[in-house]
Amino acid sequence: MKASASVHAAVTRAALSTLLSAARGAVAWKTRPAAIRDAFARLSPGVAARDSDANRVRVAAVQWRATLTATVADYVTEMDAIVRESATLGATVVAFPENNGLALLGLIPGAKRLARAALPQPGNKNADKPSDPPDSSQEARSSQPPDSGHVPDSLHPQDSPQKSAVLSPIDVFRMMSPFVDRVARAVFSELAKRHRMVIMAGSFLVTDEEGGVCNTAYSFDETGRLMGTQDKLHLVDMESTWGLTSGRTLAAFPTSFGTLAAPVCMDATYFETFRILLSLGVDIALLPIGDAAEYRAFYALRGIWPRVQESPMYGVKAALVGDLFGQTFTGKAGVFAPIALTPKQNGVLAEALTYDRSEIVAADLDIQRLHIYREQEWEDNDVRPSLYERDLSESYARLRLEAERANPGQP
Amino acid sequence: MNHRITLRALNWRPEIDPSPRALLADLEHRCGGRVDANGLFTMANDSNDGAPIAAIVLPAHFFGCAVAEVLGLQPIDHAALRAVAAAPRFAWEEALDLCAQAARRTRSVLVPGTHVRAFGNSTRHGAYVIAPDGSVLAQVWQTHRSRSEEWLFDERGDELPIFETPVGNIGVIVGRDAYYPETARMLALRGADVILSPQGTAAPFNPWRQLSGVWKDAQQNQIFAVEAHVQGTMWGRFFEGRSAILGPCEITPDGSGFLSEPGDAFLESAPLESTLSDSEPLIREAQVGLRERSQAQAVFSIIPHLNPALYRNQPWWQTPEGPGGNRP
Repeated sequence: MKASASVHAAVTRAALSTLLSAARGAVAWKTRPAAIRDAFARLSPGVAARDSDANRVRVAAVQWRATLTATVADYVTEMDAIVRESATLGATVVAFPENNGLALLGLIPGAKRLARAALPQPGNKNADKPSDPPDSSQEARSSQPPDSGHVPDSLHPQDSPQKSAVLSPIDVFRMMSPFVDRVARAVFSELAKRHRMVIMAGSFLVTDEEGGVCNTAYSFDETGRLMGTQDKLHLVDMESTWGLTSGRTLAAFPTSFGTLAAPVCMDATYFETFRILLSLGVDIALLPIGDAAEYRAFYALRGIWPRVQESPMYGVKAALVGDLFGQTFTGKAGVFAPIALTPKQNGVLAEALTYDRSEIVAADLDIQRLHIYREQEWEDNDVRPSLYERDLSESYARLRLEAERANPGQP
Repeated sequence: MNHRITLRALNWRPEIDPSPRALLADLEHRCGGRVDANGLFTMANDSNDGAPIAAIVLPAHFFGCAVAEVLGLQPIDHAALRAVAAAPRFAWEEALDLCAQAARRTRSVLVPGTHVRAFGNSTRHGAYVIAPDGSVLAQVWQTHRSRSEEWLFDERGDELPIFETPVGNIGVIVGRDAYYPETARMLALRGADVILSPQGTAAPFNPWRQLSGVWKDAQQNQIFAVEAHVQGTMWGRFFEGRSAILGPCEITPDGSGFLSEPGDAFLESAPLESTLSDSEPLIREAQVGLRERSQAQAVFSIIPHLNPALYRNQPWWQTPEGPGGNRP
């Protein structure tokens, strides 16, 4: 019985390896630069957004009910529609949700079935099996035509007793990484340029320089230039289980109207993130979220809302909603500010009405007013470096030591 | 530690209950004690092993007013505050004896509000922590001074101790230290189970403003917290907040993080006059099991995902000491 299962697993593993190679070729073809150019060629001209005031800027936070996309053209069309609507609302900055690239997994032939197998629910002990690094030789096939695009039922890992042991999510993310990265850069750069918008494109699961898979947000200025990327710094359990890698630095992006940053989702659960942003002079934190949980108002209140109270800046939250890979994402896009800077004295400038449908909310941000608030009104602006250095820094160092002991060899 | 503990916070309206001495006596009775036929004070609900089961937090400035009462002063203006801060030793000891008795009689860890005390030419704002046997565990001094507290005290404390008590590991956050997230994080990382926080928030009451204090600390560190608020005029200032018992959202019935009342009710809190009885102080209370914290942590894991490498790379605290040092 055991031998039979072992043989079955080996056969399935080999089959899946073949399947991944085939999928890689298909996705490479579907995401080729010409396909992206063609998709844009079919669109009407961009809506040039209004100019940003030196101190005042209108931002849009996207709440997007994502679905798997079958073609890059579909993705481009949908993203363009969102940017176009944001521009119509008068926004010059638009923020997209976390895992905006999950929709691109729809480019994998038989994606829905494969995704079900590749993305087990949290708690699946087999989910973090070691996986091979990306095979660059396979990427060289990107000029090949797509395969038939159909995954035979017999090759699906869920048909095997060892279903999750043979394919981990990280394999899929690694396989998709170069193509997701290509699409993210090309599509959102072009959208930013066309609509003269600053775009935080949301986050995408892509490999870093060391081969780890990160949840990375991309930000573009209104000329289409990539201002920078930001790896998620604080993972959730599921991401850790999948084997994702957390980032180690926070970046700030100066613009003509203020300084931006793009921490990712759970990063806003940690005050440390926003203290660092404040020290970097950030005025607007563009936060992509994708929360695979039932929506509860107080739970949602634990993220960016208290963070912009503690470390005064504006916060723009873009939310992924809807059903993907058997999980239901919920959340409300919104624009937040220190309580004193909000008309209703509640720290909210704009918030979506629903938590499960597509919406775009927009609000005006007065950067000069924020600076005055910080300098003259912010109550809790005392700092105790000596206390933090002695106490907090020591506790962090202890945590780091414990983590190193638990995971020797990890950077 | 697995037993259930009771956490209590007093809403105090000094205009209605001006005497700390009388209020402490009232508190002793409300928290289960009684005086028997022989004049002896006994607990109505003694636990079998006699272990203390509660922590009680009184609002900011309560202890200072107790000292004022000993001196026969009314806490009406800033001059009275300064007089109390420099009060002779006997007044402090007498007020402390009253609180120690309340701690013993309620068999509770007691934080009897806060006080301002003079040290030469400077003043500090702090709180006593009293053990269930009546012994004083420490005075904890506020470690940050906010812009709105420049009138209150001059000098900041440098220590945030953890107290190992039968109720659990306790940390005390004085006043607006709650609005500095570093404070609760330091306590949580050093093992605090419960934060006890005497609060005095400048009026007008705004539930959102209050949420950005102790509630936020409780959520960010998945810790229990007790915040006790004063409602009324004292030292020439008007305070208004709502006392509450807090815990991680995951373990509260309505997911709000409020253990002593529904979270929605807190957000909809009406003006002072219509929410509190004019005849008696209102005690907010909840029973919790310390193990429930780990249940919340299992559902939503925060502390294990802290990123020490990031904080080492970009130590935001390396900035000039004092107000605005963190400002870009």
